[in-house]
Amino acid sequence: MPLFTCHQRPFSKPHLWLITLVGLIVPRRLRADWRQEWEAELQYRAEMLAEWDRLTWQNKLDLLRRSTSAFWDALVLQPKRWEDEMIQDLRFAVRMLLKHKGFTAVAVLSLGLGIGANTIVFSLVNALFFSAPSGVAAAEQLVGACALNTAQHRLAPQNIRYPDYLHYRDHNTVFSGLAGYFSAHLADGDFAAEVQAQVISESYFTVLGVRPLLGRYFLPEENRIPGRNPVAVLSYAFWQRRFNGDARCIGQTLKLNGVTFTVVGIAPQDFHGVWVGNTYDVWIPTMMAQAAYRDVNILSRDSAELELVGRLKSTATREQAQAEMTTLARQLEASYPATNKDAGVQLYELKGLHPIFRDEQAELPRVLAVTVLCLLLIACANLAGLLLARGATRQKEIAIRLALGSSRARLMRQLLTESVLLSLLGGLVGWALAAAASGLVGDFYFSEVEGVKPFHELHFDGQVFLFSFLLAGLTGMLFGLIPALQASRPALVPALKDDASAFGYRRSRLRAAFLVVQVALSVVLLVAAGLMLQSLRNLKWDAGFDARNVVFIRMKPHLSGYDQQQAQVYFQNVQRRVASLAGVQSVAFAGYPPLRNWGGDASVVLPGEQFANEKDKRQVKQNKVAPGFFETLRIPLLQGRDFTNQDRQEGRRAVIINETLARQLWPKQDAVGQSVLVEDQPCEVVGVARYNNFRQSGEPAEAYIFRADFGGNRMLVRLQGDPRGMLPRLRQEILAVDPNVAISEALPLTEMVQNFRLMCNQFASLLSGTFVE
Amino acid sequence: MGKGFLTYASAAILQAVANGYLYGFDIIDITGLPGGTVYPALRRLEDAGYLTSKWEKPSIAQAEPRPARKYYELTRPGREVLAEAVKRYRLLEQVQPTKERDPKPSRA
Repeated sequence: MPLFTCHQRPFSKPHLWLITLVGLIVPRRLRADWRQEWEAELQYRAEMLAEWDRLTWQNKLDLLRRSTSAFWDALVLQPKRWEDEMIQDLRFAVRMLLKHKGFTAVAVLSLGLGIGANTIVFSLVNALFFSAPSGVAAAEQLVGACALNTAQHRLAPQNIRYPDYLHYRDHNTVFSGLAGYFSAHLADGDFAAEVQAQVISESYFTVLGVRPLLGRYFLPEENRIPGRNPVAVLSYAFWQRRFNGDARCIGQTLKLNGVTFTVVGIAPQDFHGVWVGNTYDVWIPTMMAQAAYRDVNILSRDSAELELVGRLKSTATREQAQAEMTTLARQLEASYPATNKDAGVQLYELKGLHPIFRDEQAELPRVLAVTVLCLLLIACANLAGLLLARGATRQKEIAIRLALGSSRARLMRQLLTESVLLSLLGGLVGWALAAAASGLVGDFYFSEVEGVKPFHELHFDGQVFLFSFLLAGLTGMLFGLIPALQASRPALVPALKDDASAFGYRRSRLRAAFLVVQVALSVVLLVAAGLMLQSLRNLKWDAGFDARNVVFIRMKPHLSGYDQQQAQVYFQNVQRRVASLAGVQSVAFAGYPPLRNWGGDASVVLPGEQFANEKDKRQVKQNKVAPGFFETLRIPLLQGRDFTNQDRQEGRRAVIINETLARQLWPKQDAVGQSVLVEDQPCEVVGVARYNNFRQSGEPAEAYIFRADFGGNRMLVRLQGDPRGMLPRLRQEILAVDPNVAISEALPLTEMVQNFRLMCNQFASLLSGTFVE
Repeated sequence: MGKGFLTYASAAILQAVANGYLYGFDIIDITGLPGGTVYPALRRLEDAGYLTSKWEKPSIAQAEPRPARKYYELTRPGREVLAEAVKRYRLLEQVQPTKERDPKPSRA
């Protein structure tokens, strides 16, 4: 559209000149229109007054004032200019990326891997440390409470007493509800399986704001008299597993630890208790605590089992609640000095893992986080290097655009748009990779050890999604900036002449710097990986036994009401039946699984040795094992003999020690036949074994003692063939002895060892699943 | 700009256009609003679909002679939103035609 010509002499009419100037910020496609409209406006004003030369100075000022209004109008149109140019930049960036498919693929994939690894690890961190319990209402109002030893300022080994809980519940002013709970393993009598239970006060679900999926939760009157109301609420998963999701199970019964419970309700699918890392099968009222632990009298001050969870009133803060709970704890301490000395309460935010596990579980995610950030940095340095190299190949294009009058800022914006687009694509790929791999990581990280299967939901929520995209965007901005700065200032003449040296010395130095960063980080990661593999190999060498073709089975006859004597008979029967199976080479029982530091310590003293203090006595790691243990695990006996059935009898206490302990106690003599006091009981050394209990090379050898015993409830069976395939047959034989006894765990020993390594949370253990076996 | 959420200034401008004051400076004069308010409001009302605009033919402008004018016209949603605003802003009635005007930009 032709412009009206009144701006031909702008300097004679400063108001029009002003319009021309202000018009610069209006998007180019709208500028002509805009200027014309304003010129018409001002022209109209001028005409209404007089010719410019004949205007009074007030009129001239008025015209100028009116022309400044154009500035506000131009500002309104300004964002459209950014939109226009952004779309232009984006379109061009897409075209460029499509044109250089190889470059795009390499850049997007390397960034995708970096961002994907970060997304996985940070969703793990999120799940372990920051996620609120799922399925509860308004999680931010909930706080957990554990018993605190106020003298030592750390979590007390005992928990909160039920009478104390009632005191806290009835006398606080900060919580709208306070509930108590503790965990227990129960035997499902009808299926000879172990179930994870939580013993809860009747307000538990109300405080958490969880509605039942079916039926109801516990009534206050069901939680008043110990042992009177055996009612149970089932978790969704257990309901599906045990009752096939049949709604008619409400009112039906199930036998837990020999007590018949009536099912009254089903919890919703997404509810798994208050701390991340656990899941439960059933909930029973606190007044049925004796079904879980026979020696617990919930109403007495001798049992301290509970942890608490409370919902803060909207007027109260966690600090106020802590102060009030501390005051209430002091009142209890004054009233019951015998039981409540130094007993305080510590409140926690209900997020992620239980505070007790936080530190020990933090190691792996921390190492992983550093590793994946290194990985991302490598990917970024890689991207920056690629962008620089591409800048060099595009110098002619850039020089032409500069020569045609494009500003450097404009060019940089274009180049940055390309790198941000690249990294966002990388983010998308990374996110997809992470989503695909999340199941793998979940299975891998949260493995079952000794019947407790940790439970975590590793899902990618909005937060993690946002995290990966922020990461991607920032990556693009940061690592596109320097190449963009470099590329947008070529020496014009040589660049236009196709001279390769146009980017000069500075440029090559920068590229070298990126290369150095990339190589340095790669070397760090490689060395770390090498070290991990090395320590892994050590871990494998020194397990101290041969786990192949061995299965580990744990039974819990005491949960089904067996006493010590009955359990011994039961285990003998099991051993007889299992040993007679074809394919079974040997069977043995042990008090503890043969894992590092699992068995606890025993004091070992030579006859006549004096110690001023009980604490000074030599503490040695121990396991209590039955005859056949060494043969089953192929632990070599260097001297002496294996235990016999006579060794288990009262009065004849036999021990087998490892080389290290033999050297410590009798450096110059044979150990076999010597006497030693174990836990103040005289014993005779009958053998010396080569056993390391998972020492890694480089670690000092550790003393170890095996005590002849009945052997406990853990059975080890050496088989001729594949242990997995034999498991159903073994189960069948064990259930034939007594179908009511729960088999809480049955798995190949190799798997157990691997799970144990994972639980130890050493970084090496993470790789063990990938590289060992 | 949602329905029923017109500012008084925007409503007054719509009312002025409805009454036949069809270009920027005309609207400024009748409403008494400053140009820094009227023009941005015209852009926004046009973006919101309450107004459309078109330039008069350059030949007409040159014959006068003066710069070409941009004429604004109310759309159907504009009319609806104005009707609602009128109910709320009684003072809008003051923005009435002072003389008989051509309701359409027939000169364009």
